[in-house]
Amino acid sequence: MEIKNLNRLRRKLEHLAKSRLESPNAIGGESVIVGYTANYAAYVHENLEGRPNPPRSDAQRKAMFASIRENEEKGHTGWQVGESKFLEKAARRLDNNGTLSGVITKAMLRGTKLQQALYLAGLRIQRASQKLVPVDTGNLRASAFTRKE
Amino acid sequence: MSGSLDHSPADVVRQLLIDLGLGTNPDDSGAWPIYCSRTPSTPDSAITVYDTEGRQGGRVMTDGERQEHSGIQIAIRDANHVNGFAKSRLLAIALDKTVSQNSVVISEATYLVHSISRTGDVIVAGKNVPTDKRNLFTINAVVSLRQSS
Repeated sequence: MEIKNLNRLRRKLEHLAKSRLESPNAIGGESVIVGYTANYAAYVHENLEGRPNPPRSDAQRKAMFASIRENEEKGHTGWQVGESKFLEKAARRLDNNGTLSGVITKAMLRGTKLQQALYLAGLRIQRASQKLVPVDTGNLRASAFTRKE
Repeated sequence: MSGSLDHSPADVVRQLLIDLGLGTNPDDSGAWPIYCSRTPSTPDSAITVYDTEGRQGGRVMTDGERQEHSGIQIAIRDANHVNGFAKSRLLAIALDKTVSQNSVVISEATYLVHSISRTGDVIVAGKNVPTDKRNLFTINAVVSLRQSS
């Protein structure tokens, strides 16, 4: 078997890749980060056993219920929602059902650069994740971010 | 992996880790007992395997069988950060190097674990504050297995 014009094909592919990258030297290095900046985000994300700090004494229990009642009066029902693995689950679900590849493909077909397409997919993960993240004070949910790397 | 399973992937991986000598059966009261799905409050040094969301592959055209990788999380808890991290790395490396086509027997069921693939490095999830201050480390992975009898 003989492959003809291999160099021409390689040049064509390189040209196509460069036209879709933000920087010509960025091949293989363009990525987007989705995450949470709250310093307890990893603990909440990885703790699969529900409330991580169950009350250890009557005083703690009273304080916890007082806090819940206080928040209830403000109409807050945050402790009823949320689950662990809020970021990983969102990313895997969107990956498994083809949403992420669909977002990226659609954007690329419109002529969008690769990193911008990845950014759109990242924002989709962030949005799905913020629907799953446990909410108590709202700090964790508000600390979500998506940024180009 | 696909097909019916009498035990959850976390149960199978727990038994596999015990078989490999990476922890002990809680009934034997040895060091590093390995639990499934829940961790009792004692002892400090404990390993727990949980089921998490897996990865979906395609379906086999001829019979419709879906190819799946089940998600697992191995949570390592220890009072000492250094010991906990060292044990976590030991487990992570053991998953990489020693798990390959291992047979696992639980009660009457036999499973063939094809492989366990980590989805990342050991995650240091922080301390359980303000209660017991124990350190939590996690390893996330996907496992490919099948019930053989």
